Amino acid sequence: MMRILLVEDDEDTAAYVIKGLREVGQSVERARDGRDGLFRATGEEFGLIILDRMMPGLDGLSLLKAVRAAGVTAPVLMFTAMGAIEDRVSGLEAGADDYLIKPFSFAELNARVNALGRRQPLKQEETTLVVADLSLDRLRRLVRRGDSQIDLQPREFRLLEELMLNAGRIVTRTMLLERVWDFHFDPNTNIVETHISRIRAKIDRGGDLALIHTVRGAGYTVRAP
Amino acid sequence: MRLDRVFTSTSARLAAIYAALLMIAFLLAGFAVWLATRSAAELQIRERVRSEMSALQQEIRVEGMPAAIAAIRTRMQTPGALEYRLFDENGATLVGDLPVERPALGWSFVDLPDAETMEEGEEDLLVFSEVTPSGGVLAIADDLLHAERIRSAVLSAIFWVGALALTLALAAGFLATRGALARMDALSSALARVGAGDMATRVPERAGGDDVDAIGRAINQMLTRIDLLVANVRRVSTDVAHDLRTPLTHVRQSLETGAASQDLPAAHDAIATAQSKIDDVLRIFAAMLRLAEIEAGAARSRFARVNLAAVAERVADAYRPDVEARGQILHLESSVSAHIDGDADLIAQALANLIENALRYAGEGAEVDIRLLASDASVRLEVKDNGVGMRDQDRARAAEAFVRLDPSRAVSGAGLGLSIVAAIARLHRAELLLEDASPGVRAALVWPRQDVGES
Repeated sequence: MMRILLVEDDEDTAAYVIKGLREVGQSVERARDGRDGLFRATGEEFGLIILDRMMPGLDGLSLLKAVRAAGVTAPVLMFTAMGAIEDRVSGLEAGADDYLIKPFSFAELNARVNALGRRQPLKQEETTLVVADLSLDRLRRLVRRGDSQIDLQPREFRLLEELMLNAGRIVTRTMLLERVWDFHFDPNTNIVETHISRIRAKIDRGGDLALIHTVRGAGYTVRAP
Repeated sequence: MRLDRVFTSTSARLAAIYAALLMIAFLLAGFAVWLATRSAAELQIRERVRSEMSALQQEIRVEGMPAAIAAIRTRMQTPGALEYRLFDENGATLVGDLPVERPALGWSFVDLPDAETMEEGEEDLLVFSEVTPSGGVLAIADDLLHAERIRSAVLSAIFWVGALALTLALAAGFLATRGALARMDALSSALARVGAGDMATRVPERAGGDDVDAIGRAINQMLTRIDLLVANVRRVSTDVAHDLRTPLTHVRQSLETGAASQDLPAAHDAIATAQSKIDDVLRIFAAMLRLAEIEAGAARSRFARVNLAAVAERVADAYRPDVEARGQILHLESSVSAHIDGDADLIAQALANLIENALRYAGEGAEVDIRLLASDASVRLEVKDNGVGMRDQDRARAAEAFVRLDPSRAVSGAGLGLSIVAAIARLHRAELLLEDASPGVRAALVWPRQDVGES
C-alpha cells in the first residue's frame, strides 16, 4: 500500500480516481486546490503525488515547481488536458516523473501509479534484470532464457527491458509507445502488439513457461508463472 | 448622396485647403505683378519726359526761345501729347497749360483735382522741371493716369483669372470628392453586405492602379480568404458532427443493451463495446485538438536541431514488423544526413501519418518506400506507395480537415491524418507535396535548403 496525495479540483475526476485507487488497495488523500496541495505535499510524506495541471488559483505547474523547490522528492504524476503537448514538456521540465492525458482509463492510471510508486527501490546500478530463468544484461545487452542466449533487435531489447524493469506490474501500450519508441502520439497501428508477439516468440518458445502475459484491457506484464 | 456629406468628407477638406493655397499664391503673384507694372510704367514715363526735356533744351539752346515756343505749341496739338509749361526768368508763363505755378526743380508729383469727383490726394501728374539756358524754367509732365489704367487692367485681369481659378478649383474639388465618396460608398456598402452575411459579395474592382483600387483588391483577397475559412469551419463542424454521431449512437446502443441485459457477462461485453466506441470518439477529439495546437504554432518556441535520418529510421523501424507481419513491404532509403530546426516528435508524427495513409490506401500488397533525399536546393522526406493513387482534384483537397477521399467512408480514420501532416509542414515552413507516382502517390515534405544544416 502506498500513501498517495491527489491534488485535483474536479469532483468527478477526484471521486473516480480515489475510488479506483482505494479498490486496488492504495491509500489516497485529496487536496481540493493548489494551495492546499502545496501545504500537504510539503508538510507530509507521500509515496506519490498526483497533480492536475489545470486548477484555479495555484495551478499544477507552479505547485510542482514549489514542491520541488521545497526539496520534496516524491514521484509526481501530472494530469494534462488533451491536445496540450506544451503541458507535457513543461511538466516534465518542472520535475514531473510522468504525465497522463485526460481522459484516461483507470487501467492506464493504475499502471503508471504502480510504475512510479516502486521506482525507488530499483537501484541504478542494477544492471542485470532477472525474472525466473529469463535474464537481461543492460550493459552488455544480452538476453538469456535458461541456458540459451536470445537475439533481439534493438527495439525488441528496449521493449523487454521496459517490461522487466516493471516486472510483476502492468505496462500499458501507451507507456511502451512513449518509453520504447518515444512516440507521444497514437500511431494507430499494432506496433506494440507486433513487437510483443515477436519477443514472445523468441522468449516463450516451445514448452517454456510463458513469462510475457497480456492483461486484457490493460497492457502487458512480465512475471514468473 | 447628400451634399453635406460631400462637404464634410476628407477629400472636400483637402480640396478646400488646395483652393485656399491657390488663392494665396494668386494674391502674392498679383501683388508682385502690380508692383512691377507700376514701376515699369513710371520708368517709361520718366524716360519719355526726360528725353523730351533734353530735346526741348537743345531746341532752346540751338534755335532760340521763339522757335522752342513754336515747337512746344506744335507738340501740344498732337493727341496724346505730354503737358508743358515754360516760364521766363520772372516766372511768367511763355507757353503751355500745365497747371503748376512754381514747380520745384527735378521730379515732383502734382495732385490734380479730379474733374468729376474733385477729389484730391492721388498724384496724377509726374512733373520734371529744369532751368532753361535763358534762366527760366521748363516743366514737362505726363499724366500718371495712363500708368494707373495699365495697373488697374492688370489687377482686374488678375482678379478675374483668380476668381475663375478658384471656381474651377472648388468645382474640381467637389467633383473629385463626390467621385471618391461614390467609390468609398461602394466599398462600405459591399462590406455592409458581407457583414450582413452575404459572403459572396465582392468590392467592385477597376483595372486602374490607384490607392482605392489597391484597397479594393486587398479587401477582396481578404473576403475570399474569409469566405474559404467560413466555408471550411461550416464543413468541418458538419463533418465532426457526422463523424461523432455514428460512434456515439453505437455507444448509446451498447449501453442500452447492457442496461437491459440480465446476464452479467453480456452486460460486460456491451460496456466494453461502448468503451471502445468512446475511445474512437476520443481519438477524433485528440486528433482535432492536436491539429489546433500545431496550427497555433506554440511548438516553434522549442524547436531544436532534428536529424531527419534518425527520425525516419525510428519511425520506419516502428512500423516495419507490423507491416511485414501483414505481408506488406516497407523500405527505407536514407543515405544522406540532413538536419532541420524543428520538433522531432511532430516530424515523427507527420511521417507516421504518411506511412499509415500509404498502408491504408495501398491495401494488402502495399509497398511503401520512404526516402530521404538532399539536393542543393532542398531536402525531401518522401513516402511513396503503390496503391491506386489519387485523382488530380483529390490531391488538391486531400490535406483539408476531414476529407476522406473514399466517399463510402469504407476506409477507417477520422480524415485528419493528412491535415495534421499539412499543419506540421506549415509549422516547419516545409512544403507538403502530393505527387502522382503512377502507380500510387508520393507524399513529400520539402524543406528549402537554407533551413537545412549539414552538421
